[in-house]
Amino acid sequence: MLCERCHSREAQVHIKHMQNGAVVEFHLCHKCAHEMSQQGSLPKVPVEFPFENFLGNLFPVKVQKQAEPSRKEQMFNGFCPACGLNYEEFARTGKFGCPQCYETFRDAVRHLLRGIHGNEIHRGTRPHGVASKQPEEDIGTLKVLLREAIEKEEYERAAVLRDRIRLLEERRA
Amino acid sequence: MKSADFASLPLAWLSGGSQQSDIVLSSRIRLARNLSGYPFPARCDDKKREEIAGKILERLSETPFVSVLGTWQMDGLDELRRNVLVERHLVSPDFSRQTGRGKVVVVDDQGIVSLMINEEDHLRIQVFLGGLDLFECWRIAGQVDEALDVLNYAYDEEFGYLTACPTNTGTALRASVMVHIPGLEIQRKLGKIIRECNRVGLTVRGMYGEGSESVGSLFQISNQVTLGQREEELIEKVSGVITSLVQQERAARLKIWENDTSKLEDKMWRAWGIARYARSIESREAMQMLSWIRMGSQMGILPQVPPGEWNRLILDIQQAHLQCFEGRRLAEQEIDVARASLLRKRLANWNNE
Repeated sequence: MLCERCHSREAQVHIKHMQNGAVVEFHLCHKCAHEMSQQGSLPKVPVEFPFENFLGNLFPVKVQKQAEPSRKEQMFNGFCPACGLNYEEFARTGKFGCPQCYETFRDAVRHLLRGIHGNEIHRGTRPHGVASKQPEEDIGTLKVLLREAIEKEEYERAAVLRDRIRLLEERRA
Repeated sequence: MKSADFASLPLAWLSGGSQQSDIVLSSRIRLARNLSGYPFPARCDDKKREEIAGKILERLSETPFVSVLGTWQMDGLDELRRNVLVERHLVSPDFSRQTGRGKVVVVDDQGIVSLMINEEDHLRIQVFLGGLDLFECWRIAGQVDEALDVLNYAYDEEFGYLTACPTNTGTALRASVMVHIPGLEIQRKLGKIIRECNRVGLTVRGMYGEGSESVGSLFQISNQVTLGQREEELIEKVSGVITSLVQQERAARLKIWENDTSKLEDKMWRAWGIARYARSIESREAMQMLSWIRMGSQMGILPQVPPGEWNRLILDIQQAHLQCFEGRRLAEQEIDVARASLLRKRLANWNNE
């Protein structure tokens, strides 16, 4: 179904509303729904999307209107080159399009995973092909990540990385 | 395959297990895996999904320890058969409703291992055993996983196994256990148990998983978090909570019995009476009566219905199962009549009134 306002994009927001005893329906695309709600021409119903609601502020909020596009903005404006998913669609559905999306949105994904799992570093089994990598290499990667985290002042994450490195070093010893 | 046979395919857990199987019906490990180089199933067309299914099935056929009993394309099954698979927990309710090619379910001949291909992820490996036996489930699931990992799984050094939904990322492991806890329900301790489970990162759901309400005091308890802990740690946590829950349930039953023996026995015998003699019974009531019967049978108050038979009964009275046994679709009222008739016949075998 096409958006009833712009007639060009797919309608993705469907609102059924009781108004003075009559049912009013809206079928809009995101852009139009957003614009109309800004103008106040939509009934006051929650037009947020369930998954965003559900996970609350786990999805990093896009910074609105800045003179210079921040690093954050650049990060969220991207499309996944492999499957074409953009960050907004991901935030709306809560589902990735393909494995490559994790790479595309890596920084945002890290934040999201930490919110869901309280952690973003896998400690479980690995596939065979990957298992041949030595822990040394793994520690090396982690140390780089740790340095990055400290530079970005992400101390919670840094603590997790530090613990992980310690664990691997203990295991190796 | 005739629909009645389809609804009686083997399931190992039905026969019960060695550990805590008075309270724990089944243990399940589910692993989600994806092939790198393909979009997740929701963004694949029929051709891609068929290609993925083909790769997985080919590899599976070369795997000696999984002896496949059946491989079914979901869109080749009628609605009743699809629902039977849901009632048997072999596919998710979502999967049973999805259309499109390349959506496949595979079941092994012992009824332990099953695969869902192209559900939310390319591959879901499920292992079911009776009683509390998560570590054995994990061992078996690990074997299947290892055999298939030449398919080049989507994996990331930092995040682990990559899945369509970020709630599964990492180990992509869900360890879940189905428990029967009527004693704790009577004592109104469920709220507390659910809160305690949530606090340690476990979820409590009804018998049919996400969004389903509980019937017959049956609950599924599983890990919520999949990332940041090793598989064994996740399993250990679920096992530990269940072990303590089993003890609490046993103590609760004893206490209820001590407090008011005649009232408890009355409830149980009434349940037996309804299940033995009703001419029409709704699913919810039947599950409730069976719950009393299981508890009463285990406490030595009611006739002894073996756990294996009881487990079969809770599946066989589900509506798709009943219709498959009849070999045709039934109206709602007819289903209730068929359910009552099945209960009467089956329970008569254990009558020593």
